[in-house]
Amino acid sequence: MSSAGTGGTTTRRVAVTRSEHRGTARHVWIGIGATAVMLALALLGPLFAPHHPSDVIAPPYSSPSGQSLLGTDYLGQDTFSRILWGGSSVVWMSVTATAIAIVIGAILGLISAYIGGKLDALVLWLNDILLAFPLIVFVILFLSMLGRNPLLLVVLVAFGWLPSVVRLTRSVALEAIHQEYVASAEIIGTPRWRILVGEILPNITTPLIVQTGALLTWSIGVIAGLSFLGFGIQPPNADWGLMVNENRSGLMILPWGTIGPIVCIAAFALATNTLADALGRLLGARHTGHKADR
Amino acid sequence: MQIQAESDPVESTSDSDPVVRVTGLRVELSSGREIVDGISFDLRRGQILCLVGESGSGKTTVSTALLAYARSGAHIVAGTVELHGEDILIASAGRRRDLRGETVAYVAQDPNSAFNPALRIATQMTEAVLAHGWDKAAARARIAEVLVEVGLPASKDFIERYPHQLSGGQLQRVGIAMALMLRPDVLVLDEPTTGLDVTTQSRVLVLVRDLCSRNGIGALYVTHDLAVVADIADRVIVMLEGRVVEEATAAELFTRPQHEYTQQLLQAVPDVAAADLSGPTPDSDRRSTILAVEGLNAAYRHERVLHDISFEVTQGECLAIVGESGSGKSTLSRCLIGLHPEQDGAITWDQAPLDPRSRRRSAAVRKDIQYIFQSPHNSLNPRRTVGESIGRAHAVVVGGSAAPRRAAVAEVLERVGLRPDMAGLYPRGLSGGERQRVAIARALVCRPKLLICDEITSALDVIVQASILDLLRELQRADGLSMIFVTHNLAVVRNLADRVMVMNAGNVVEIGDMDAVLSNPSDSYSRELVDNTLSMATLRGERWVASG
Repeated sequence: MSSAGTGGTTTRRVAVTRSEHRGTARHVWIGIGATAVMLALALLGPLFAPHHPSDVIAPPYSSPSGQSLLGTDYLGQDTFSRILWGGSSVVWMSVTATAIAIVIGAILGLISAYIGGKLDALVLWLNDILLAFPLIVFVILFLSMLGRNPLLLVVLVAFGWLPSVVRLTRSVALEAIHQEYVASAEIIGTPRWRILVGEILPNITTPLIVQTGALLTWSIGVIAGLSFLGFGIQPPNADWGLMVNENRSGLMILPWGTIGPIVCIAAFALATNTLADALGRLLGARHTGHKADR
Repeated sequence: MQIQAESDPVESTSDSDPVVRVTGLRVELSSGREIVDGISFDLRRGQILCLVGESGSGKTTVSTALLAYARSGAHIVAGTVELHGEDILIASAGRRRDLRGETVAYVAQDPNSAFNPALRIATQMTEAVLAHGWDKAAARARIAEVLVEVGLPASKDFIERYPHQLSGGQLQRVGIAMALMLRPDVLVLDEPTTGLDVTTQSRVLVLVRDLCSRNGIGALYVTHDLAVVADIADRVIVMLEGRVVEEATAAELFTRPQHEYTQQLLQAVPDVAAADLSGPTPDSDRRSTILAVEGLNAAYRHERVLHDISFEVTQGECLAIVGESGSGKSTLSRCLIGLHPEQDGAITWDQAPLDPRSRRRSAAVRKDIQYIFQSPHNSLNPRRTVGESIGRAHAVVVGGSAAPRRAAVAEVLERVGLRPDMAGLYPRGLSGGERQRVAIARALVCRPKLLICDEITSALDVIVQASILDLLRELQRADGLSMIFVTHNLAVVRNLADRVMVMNAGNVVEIGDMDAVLSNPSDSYSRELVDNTLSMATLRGERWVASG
C-alpha cells in the first residue's frame, strides 16, 4: 500500500473493507440465528415435549389431533414429541465428532509440519492409509466388529475426518512456518511450544474455523445417515435419522413421521453450513483485507 | 556509465506533434478512492519520459492507462489518451487490440513472472503478431530482427528455449524484443530493471536509450530509482499520491528541482559517489574483535554456496557485506545467526565458538546478536499487535513481569521514532517503513551488541530508506552498536559503513575500509560493481553541469 502510510489512508482502507463485508456479516448473523434455533429445538425440545418419546398414546399412524400435533408413528408414539426428543443425539454426536477431529487433527498437523522429517513422513503415511477407506464403510466395519455404541460411532466418525484436518492444518502451518516472523522467534530461542501456539496457531485459525463448520455439516449428514441405517441410537429412544427409517413404510398413510425429522436434519445442516460459509468468507476477506485495496 | 553526446532528441523533435497526449487522466478504485487525479503530459518521438514516484503514487496505473488498461478494481473515469491524435480510451475493443502492440507496447516489471514458463520463447514472441494477422514465416523473420536489435542471438537454439533457461537480463531483453515485434511508436516500460543486478541494469538502460534514438520510439519509463532517471531521462514527471508535483527536463530537475517533494526525494537518494557521512572510521587496532569468522563454508544440500569465508567485526563498527543476488551474502548472514546449520568452519563470538544452530547457542549469545529481516511484510506476525511482537521477544530474552515489559516496549518504540501508543496496532495498519522500525525495535528490546541487517531497506522507498539509515547511524553512534549490514546497493553503504566486504559467487573478493573500496577498488569484480552503480552526482556532472 501507500508508503506514505498516513492515518487517513488507513482509515479509508478500513472503511472500504467494512462496506465490502457488510453483506457477508449479515450472512454470519443469519447462520448464527438459524443454528441457535436448531440447537434450542434439539437441546430444549425435551422440556416442552407433551409426551414421553416411547409412550404409546394412540393407534399407529393416527391423524394429527389436539393431543398429538403431527399424529402418531408406526408404534402409536407421538411424532411431535419424538421430533423434540430426537434432536439432542444428532447434536451431541455431530458436535463431539467434529471437536475430536479438529482438536486431534490440528495438533497432529501442527506438530507434523513443525518437526518435519521422519515424524512428518509417518503421520502422512498413516493419514494416507486412513484416507483409503470410504468413511461409511470404515465406520460400519468397526461398528459391526466392536458392537453398536453411539460413543464408538462418534469416535469412528471423528477418525474418519482426521486425515482431512491433518492435511489442511499441515499445509497451512507449513506456509506460516516459513515466514520470517517464525525464524525471528527461533533466533531468540523462543520455546518450540510457544512458537507453535503463539506464532503459528493464530495464523491458521481461519481455515480451521471454516473446516470446523464444514465438518459439523458433514457430521450431521453422516450421523443421521448411520442412524437411519440402524447403527446409531437404538429404539425405543428417539433420533431423527432413526425416525426416518422407522416411519418410511407409513409415508403414504401419514408422512409427518418421515418428513418432520428430514426437515429438521436438513434445516440443522443448512444452518451450520450457512454459518461456516459466511464465517469463512468474512474471516478470509478480513485476513487478506489489505489486499482488496491494492 | 557513458552518455551518448548526440542523444538530444528533445530539441530536434519538439516541433512535431506528440505521439502520445494524455489529458486530464483520472483513475478511481471501485471504492471511489482516486489513485490518479487529473494527469496530463505529452510524449514525443525519440523521447524518454520518466515517471518517478514512490510505491502507491499511481505511476504504474498511469503507464498502463496508455494501453487503456486498468488493473482489476480500478477504473479510468475521465481524461483522454491520444495516440497520434486517436483516443484509445474510447476506441472500440477491436481497434484497441490493434493499437496495443502496433502503436503502443508494454514491457513488464518482472521478467520472471511476465513469461509463461511452459511455452518456448519463440511461441510467446509470435503469439501477439499472429493475432495481428501475420503469417508464421513473417513472424519468424521478425523475431530474428528484433532479437538482433536487443543484442541477443537469433539462433534456432536460442528461440526454442524456455524462459527458465535464460537469465533475468536476457529475459528482460526478450521482453523488450517482444514489445518491438509490431514496430510500435511508443514503449511503456514499468520498472524494467528493478529485479536486475547493477551490471545487467546498466546494459538494459543502454539498450533502451539506443532503441529509442535509433527507431524514434517514444518511451514512458516508470521507475522509483532516481539514479536510473538521471541516466536515461529526457523529461521527468514526479508523481505523489496520484498527482504530478513537478514536470521538467532531466537537466532542470536534477540541477534546479522546484518542488519541495522533489528536493526531498533527491536528497534522500543514497549516492555511491557522495561524501562520507558515516564519520571517522573507528580505529580498529584499539577496538576489540567481537565476531570472528574463519574458513566458513556453507552448502545447500550438495551445492556449496560459501567458500572459505574469513573476516572479523570489531566493537562498534559497521561492516557492510555487498554482493549481487546469488553471491551468498544472505546465506552468510543466516549462518551467523544460526539459521543455516549446513556449515563448517569457525565462528567465534567474544572468544567463544558459536554453534551453527541458534537453538544450541547460549541465552546470552542469542540476546547479544540480533537479526533484522529483509521484508517488513513477513517478519512481523500479522496476528499480533506491535506491542505483542516486541513484548514476546522481551519475554523470551529478558523475562520479568508484564509491567516492566510494557515500559520497555514503550521506550524502544520511542527509540526507533514511533509513538508508544502504536503498540496496539496490527502490522497491516502500518506502512513499510513503520513496520521495519518495529522490526528494529523488536531487535533492540533485547539489548544486542551486534545487529545483523539483511537488505533491510531494499523493499522501502528512498525517503523512508534514508530515514531508516539515519536511525541506524544514530543507534550505532549513541549505543556503540556493532552492525553487519548486508545489501546489494553500494550507494547505501556509503552512508553507513566503516568497512566493506565485497562478495561474488560465495567468495570474499575484497574487504577493506569503505572509502578505499568504493573509490579505489583493488579487485576487478568490485571495480565493475562500483562502475556500474549509477551515481546521480556523477551523472549530473557528466550530463548537464559539464556540458553547460
